[in-house]
Amino acid sequence: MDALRRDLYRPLQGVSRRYLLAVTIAGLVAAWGLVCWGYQIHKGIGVVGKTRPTMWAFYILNFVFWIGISHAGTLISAILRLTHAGWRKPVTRVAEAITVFALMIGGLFPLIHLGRPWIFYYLIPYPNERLLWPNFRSPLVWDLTAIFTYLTGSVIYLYLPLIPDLAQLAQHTTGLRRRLYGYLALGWTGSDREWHALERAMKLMAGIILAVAVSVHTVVAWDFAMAVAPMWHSTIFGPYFVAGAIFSGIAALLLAMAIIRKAMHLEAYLQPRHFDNLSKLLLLMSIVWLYFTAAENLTVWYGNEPDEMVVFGERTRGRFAPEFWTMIACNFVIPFVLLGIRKLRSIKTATISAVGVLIGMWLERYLIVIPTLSYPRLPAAWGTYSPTWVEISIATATFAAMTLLYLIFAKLFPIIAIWEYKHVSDG
Amino acid sequence: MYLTGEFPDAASTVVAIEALKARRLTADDLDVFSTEPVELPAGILDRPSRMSLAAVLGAATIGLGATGFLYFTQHHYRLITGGMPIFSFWATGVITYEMTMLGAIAATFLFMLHESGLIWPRHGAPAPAVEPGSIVLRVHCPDDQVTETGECLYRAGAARVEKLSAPSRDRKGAVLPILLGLLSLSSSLPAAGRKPLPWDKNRHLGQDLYREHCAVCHDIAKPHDPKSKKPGPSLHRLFQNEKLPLTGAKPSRDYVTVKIKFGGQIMPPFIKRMTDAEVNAVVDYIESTGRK
Repeated sequence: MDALRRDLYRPLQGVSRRYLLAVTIAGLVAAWGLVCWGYQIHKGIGVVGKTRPTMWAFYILNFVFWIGISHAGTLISAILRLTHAGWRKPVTRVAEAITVFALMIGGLFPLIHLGRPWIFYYLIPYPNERLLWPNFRSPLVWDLTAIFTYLTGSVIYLYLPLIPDLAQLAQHTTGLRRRLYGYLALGWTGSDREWHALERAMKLMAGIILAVAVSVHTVVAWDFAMAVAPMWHSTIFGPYFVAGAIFSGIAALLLAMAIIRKAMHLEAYLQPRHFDNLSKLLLLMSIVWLYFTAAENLTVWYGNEPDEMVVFGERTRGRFAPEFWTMIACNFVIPFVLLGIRKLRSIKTATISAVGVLIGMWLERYLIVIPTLSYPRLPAAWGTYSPTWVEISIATATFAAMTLLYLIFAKLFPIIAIWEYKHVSDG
Repeated sequence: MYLTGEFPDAASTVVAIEALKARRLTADDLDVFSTEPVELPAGILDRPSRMSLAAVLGAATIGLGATGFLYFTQHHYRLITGGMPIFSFWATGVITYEMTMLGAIAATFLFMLHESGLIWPRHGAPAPAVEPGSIVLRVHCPDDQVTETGECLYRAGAARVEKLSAPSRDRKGAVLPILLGLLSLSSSLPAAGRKPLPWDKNRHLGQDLYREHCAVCHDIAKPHDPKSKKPGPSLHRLFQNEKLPLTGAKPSRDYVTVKIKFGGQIMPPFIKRMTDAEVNAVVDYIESTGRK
């Protein structure tokens, strides 16, 4: 076995104490989230803080946040694949796995938000015989189809390049694992027909997934923009959300890579230059994000429309000002200083910026969802919102669930595509 | 019958494929196995694909089908709208777009499985085990051309040529080909005692060299015939005969080796044309033909 395979198969074997500890903690927190969800279903949606007028709250903002994170993978890996970026090879699978898990978690939030998750099928345009009040034009139906398509595509996009590695792994393992890998490898033999078909399919999939990824976050943005609510009804919301999603996606990818590099001792494969390249992308997206934010807020401010100015005022110098300026600091000031100055750019500062951006982007979702709903056009209907322990528990649990899923994935499958690593030359 | 030749690099694989194509084998009979994709020059082993077309057709089918279904469901429910249109074209447009993409994704995935042969293995052919880094060329050739094909593979630079076990008709599961692969891996181990093949490597090299350098003057298939037009004596059963044809001395490897290297009155010396190992291979070959 060559050094590459030895290094990448090593993390798959055995279970260290630290790994067990991490799985246990993540598992417990995730389980607590399930308990809370059960409690919410049992007691009713009244146990959460959302109420008139803030009917979209914590769950929806976390939904938007996770869907944004999901753009880490598939979109970034598709762009790198289509542009033949040679340095992509240790990055792609790390990213694609984030997409699949973030989408699974993100897709869960609308169900939790529903309160009665068993009637989720109202979203599907089925033949309606029951004299309900179907709104065939609801953007929520778009959401369902968009996320379903993206999840299907992302799973396939993650799975296809895994097949050759699985076939190899099946030969190096025994027992249950061998059977698992054997089934999943579909009888891959490594013939040129298979390689040809795989490469062609990946090329096609990269193109398709790019179109889907852009549409998914545009549709999520349209959930807001289609409502004639102050500071939501904006034409740039689609691209604004897509840019924000790519931004937070790169941050999530950087953080995951930094953790994997340390935990799995893959310093030789996840090299400083990979972090450097992604840092530059993060820096670029930070500037793009600032541009969109400025365009959005300046238009509102210059227009001086009373209903919008209420929300604008509360966001920039009222109740939500601390969150707003923290967001600006996290999303722009920190990455711009740490990554913009070349001397400061390192793996450590990239990780710090990534954490900052993740916090900043979460706050951005918060600032989009909550202030607008708290200050509707009719002042008599104004209200306040604060999350209850149920909402906070469930949201925290999803972060633990993400960690748990990733830990299990990294234990079962090589986190770097071995065949691709050997095949793709540095460009 | 399936033969496999193991090659160290893509260049020698290309030589082998071209030689086999000259022997009227088509791209359909040839498969290259490797642990990483091998880039062969265009025109060597092209695999035409209809995957893009399939993706477009899948996209159109699912996209139109989903839109039709939406139209049906929205009209199916008699909503009182006061004469307003019930089917919202723009709102449905987003769903049409997503379902079109889903169709493209599904078609690409299914066609990938189809074209790669993962769901329908080709001829149920056995797959060779491949070591990381090496390239194995599998040839599907008629039973009566096995020897020639094997020689062809050797000449192109194959490090090892082997017969693959009989094609399996069982197409049940995905696990099966892997098991087959493992079986063939174990059969390639020396301890497994595989049947010696007619082109044992050294002898094959010797035979090739003999044909190139010696056969023009020396028969080897039949005893010496005075009417033969070949200038040299026949080497038929050279080492099994009592004495050598010209000198009458007792046959020995040393004598024959020296003779090949330095030549005789008529025979030219071959010391500059063949290495010691090659001369040795020729002597091996001459010796082995007599044993039959």
